[in-house]
Amino acid sequence: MKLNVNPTRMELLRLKKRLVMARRGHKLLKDKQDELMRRFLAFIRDIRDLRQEVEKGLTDAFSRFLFVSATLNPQDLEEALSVPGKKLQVDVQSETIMNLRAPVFTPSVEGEVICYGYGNTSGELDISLFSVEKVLKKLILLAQKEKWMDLLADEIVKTRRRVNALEYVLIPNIEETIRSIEMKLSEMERSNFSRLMKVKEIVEAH
Amino acid sequence: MELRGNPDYAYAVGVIRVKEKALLSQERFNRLVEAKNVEDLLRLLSDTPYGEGSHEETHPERAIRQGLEREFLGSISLFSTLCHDQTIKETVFYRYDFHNLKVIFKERSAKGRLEPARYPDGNYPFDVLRAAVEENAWLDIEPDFRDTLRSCKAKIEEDPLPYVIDNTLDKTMFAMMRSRVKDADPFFREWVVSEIDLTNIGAFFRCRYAERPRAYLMAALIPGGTLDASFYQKAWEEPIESLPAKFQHTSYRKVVEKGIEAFEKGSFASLDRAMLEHRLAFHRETRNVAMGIEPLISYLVFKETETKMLRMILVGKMNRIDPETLKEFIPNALG
Repeated sequence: MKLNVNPTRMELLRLKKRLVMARRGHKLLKDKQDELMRRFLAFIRDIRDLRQEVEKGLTDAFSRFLFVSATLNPQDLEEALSVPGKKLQVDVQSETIMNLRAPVFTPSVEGEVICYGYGNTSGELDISLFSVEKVLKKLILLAQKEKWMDLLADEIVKTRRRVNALEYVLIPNIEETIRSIEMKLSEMERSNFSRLMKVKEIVEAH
Repeated sequence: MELRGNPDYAYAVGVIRVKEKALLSQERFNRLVEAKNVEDLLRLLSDTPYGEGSHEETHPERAIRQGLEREFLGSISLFSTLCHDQTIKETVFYRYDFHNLKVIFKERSAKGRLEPARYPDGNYPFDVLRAAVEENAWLDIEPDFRDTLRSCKAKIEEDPLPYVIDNTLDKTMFAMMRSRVKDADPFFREWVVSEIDLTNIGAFFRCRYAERPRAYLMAALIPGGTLDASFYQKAWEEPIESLPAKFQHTSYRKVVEKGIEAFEKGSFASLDRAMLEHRLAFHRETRNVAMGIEPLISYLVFKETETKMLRMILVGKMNRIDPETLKEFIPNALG
């Protein structure tokens, strides 16, 4: 679509400068998009393994806990787990990746996961809690990486939209407008030239 | 086990024998395990005490849970009605008192009420125990229990960690149970000692699996079992494979072998089951007692185990767990 500008030489020069700028911007954004994609794919590979590990750990912990919750009296289980012995604190800071502010979770854990006596509880309960404890840091790391991946994905979408806007809208429009102004200008030039020729003919006839 | 006869319990044992007939057999458990889903499980339970009144509840899971709760409370109530020996009744109900005390002490740490963790009242109503702990209202508490509770309270207030609360109260409970049954029939002494031994063996394997320091185990051990602290201290130093030999002169060899399996399989399910089977085998012997209080306690143990197993099958069915896996958790000596 042609831009709504006056077909003047001045405007032509301005549009040509804009075209150079748009092409440079397009190239930079295209490079950024490629790098974002590269990092995104690397993240996916990384996260896939971590997620599998976390899911395996949690499945193990939950299936054990399921049996424990069924074999212990509900009152015993409720009492045993009523006051947790372990405290988890997650410190959130941020880091810049590809000009994005990404959160960095730093967990700090204190205390014992086993917060009950050995009287009315079972060893399977210990193992299920150990399984959760083992997977907890990985779970937090996974949350951090998935958040990063989420931010990267958003950025990729935004960058792609900008690249596409430049590539399929702005640059073609400027090019079309430039072509149209150039045609208009050359048309005007030709018409001026023929007018001058006509004037010259009339002057010479007299 | 020495057989004894106490004509005071002729009626009680008669009632218990009838109730024992209604306990679910191994075959019945095998059928329940094969149930297709929770609805099918409820249908299979419909001719048992657990299915009574189930038609009034539209939700099958809730109907089964209500049945389990009703039967569990019913067995406690039956024991309370049939048992005329105050000492034995108190000994059995200490478990509920001390559990409720744990809840009261933990409520202080949790800064909130822990209603679902409460057991039915034991020797003392829950509010009486709470008033004693929180407001020092000791008037309704027997003098010996009062002194014990005061010393527990002082110890817990020094170090109010949840583990310390449980450990202190467990040790105190077993000490009181031992003192109560010291002049009673050998069955009761053996019963308390066996409970202490099983708790200590479980603690031994769990501490060792978790690679705790030896001092941690020593603090967790409950005094008064057939195997004293020095036995566990020596066993702690031994390689895990040599433990069955150490326990070969005790009745716990099989339990210990299953404890060792935990290190190979990374699961305590076999140990838990072996401990349960050991308990049930001990109580099964009371079926030879024609007149006495022993069958009452054993019935309580069997009934509690039965409700636990049914709860496990229910959870298994709700989560579509393979019947073969469920069977692994059901003890052989049940029913």
